[in-house]
Amino acid sequence: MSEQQIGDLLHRGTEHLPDPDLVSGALKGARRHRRRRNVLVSGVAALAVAAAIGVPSALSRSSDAGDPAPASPGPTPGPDPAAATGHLTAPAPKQSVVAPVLDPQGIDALPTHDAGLPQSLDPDEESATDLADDPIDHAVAAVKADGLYLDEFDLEQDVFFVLGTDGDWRRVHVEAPADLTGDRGPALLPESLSPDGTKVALKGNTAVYVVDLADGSTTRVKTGRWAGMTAWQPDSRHLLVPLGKQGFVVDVTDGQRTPAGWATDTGAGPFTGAYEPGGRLVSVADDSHGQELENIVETNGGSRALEVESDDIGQPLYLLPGARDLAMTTYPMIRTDKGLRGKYDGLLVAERESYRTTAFLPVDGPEGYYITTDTLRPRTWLDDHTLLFSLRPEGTKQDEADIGQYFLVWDTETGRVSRASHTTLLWRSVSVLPEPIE
Amino acid sequence: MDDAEFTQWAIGCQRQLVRTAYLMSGDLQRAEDLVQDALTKVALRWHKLRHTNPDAYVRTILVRDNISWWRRHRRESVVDALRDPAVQPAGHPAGHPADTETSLVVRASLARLTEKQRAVVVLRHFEDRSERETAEILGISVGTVKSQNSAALARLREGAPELLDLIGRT
Repeated sequence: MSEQQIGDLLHRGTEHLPDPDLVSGALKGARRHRRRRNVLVSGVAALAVAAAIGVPSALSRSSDAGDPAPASPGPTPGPDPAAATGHLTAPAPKQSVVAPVLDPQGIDALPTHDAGLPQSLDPDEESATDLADDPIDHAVAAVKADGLYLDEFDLEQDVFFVLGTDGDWRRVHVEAPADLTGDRGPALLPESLSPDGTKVALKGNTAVYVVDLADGSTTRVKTGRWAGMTAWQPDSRHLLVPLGKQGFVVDVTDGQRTPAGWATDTGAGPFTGAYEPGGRLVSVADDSHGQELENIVETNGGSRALEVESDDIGQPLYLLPGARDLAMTTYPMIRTDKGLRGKYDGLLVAERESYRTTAFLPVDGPEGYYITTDTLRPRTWLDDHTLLFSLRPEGTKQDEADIGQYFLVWDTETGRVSRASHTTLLWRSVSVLPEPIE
Repeated sequence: MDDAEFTQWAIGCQRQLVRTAYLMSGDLQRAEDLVQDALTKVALRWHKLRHTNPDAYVRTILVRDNISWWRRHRRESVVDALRDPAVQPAGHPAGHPADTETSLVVRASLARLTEKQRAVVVLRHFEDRSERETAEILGISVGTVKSQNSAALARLREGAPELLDLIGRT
């Protein structure tokens, strides 16, 4: 098979394709995008003038002038955080912010770090007490042995474990025995624990189940199908449930729902996003002219407060916004003296005011591996510059002898990486929420 | 933006782009979506690109968006129909009037490659781009283009007997 023959076949295999008119659609999309951008810019300018003369205003009102107001994805959050508004373009990271490449094979040699977690996140399933017999105020970790190919394991599907601040594990039963089969993916996910550690949200095939750790009760939030990645609001009471155009925010105390509108409608792609401490939802969403350009969008009380063109920072996944910075998994194009280069998957931190990359931690491995396999993701901010993240080294086995995943700590200012904790099974889903370190 | 200038350029290349995107994605509907999105991005930056190299830029966008789509769908553990020759790609069911035997075989064969390998093969052998041009479009080194191309052709030779069969009949 020569290269010439390959080329001939590729031509023959596509010569029957039609010649559609895509140009007019592209032009329309570009015009809408420009119009929208101009509205945002003028809105920001108006705000600046209003601020200068002491007139209170709300960006949400002015920024929505260009298209129909989306439904609010939840109750209006608290005070607007000191974050950017309008429209930004995230610049390509500079080589100077790139940390040394992290070699997953050398993790065991890293220094240890007390991140408020035990060194092993494997519960002793036999000795764990029932939550009802030994209640806890809140959990610092929730763990469940589940996920894809669950049928290959002899595991209880309606049970998970939580770790209390006393260092002991409790067994928790979910009142959803038939729905947590793991057919579509793990029921317990990194984002399952509520910010205050009092509730755990699990995904079933037809509903989301919220377990209140105070009394062990389960609330069923019917979805009818597998939902996207959920996101807790900072109040630990409202949960965002992405379901394409049917996405909603539910008050888990009374079941009241509010449509999420476009905030979780990402077209063909699944939802990825989270709330920052001030209440903004930071997510990857279709850009404002609906061309699925996958910008990072900060949403405040249902209004598109900030839109960030993120082409040059790769494909942002697993967004973890803090008050100051946003962490994510991605594969950015690095600005070097040789031009733009994307080589490593890694963790990227951008300051939310400018979306300038302040740090990038590349991880050694085949390009795209960590993003594709969900094996590298930020977990929580320990302070404003220290990030807890999880990493499952590339090439490890998927059986009982698997080396599992590590929980590592990255000081984004010094670049230092250290080891905090570890768990063994690949499909042991883990959600962590370490106690703040004084 | 100079709409007329952009339109003239885009009309001249859109069919070639759809064919390229189809080979990369294996799905006509997605190919058209990818091309329209890529053209939108070019239109938004036309004032900068018109004096440089919009042909390379639009292909970079196509490749990157296609890989992004694939990654995001893999992330949700959706069955990747493209990787299962027994499963027809969504949006392009078996028996589609646009399908030909050659088309089906080519699509199934390319589905055996990684996204990057497929992009290299399409750019090198369908678009007839040089190794350097391919490297620039994909943002990788010339050496990587060579190795990916070599690995892709080896995989096609070993794992796509239907392709060999087709060549044998030409």
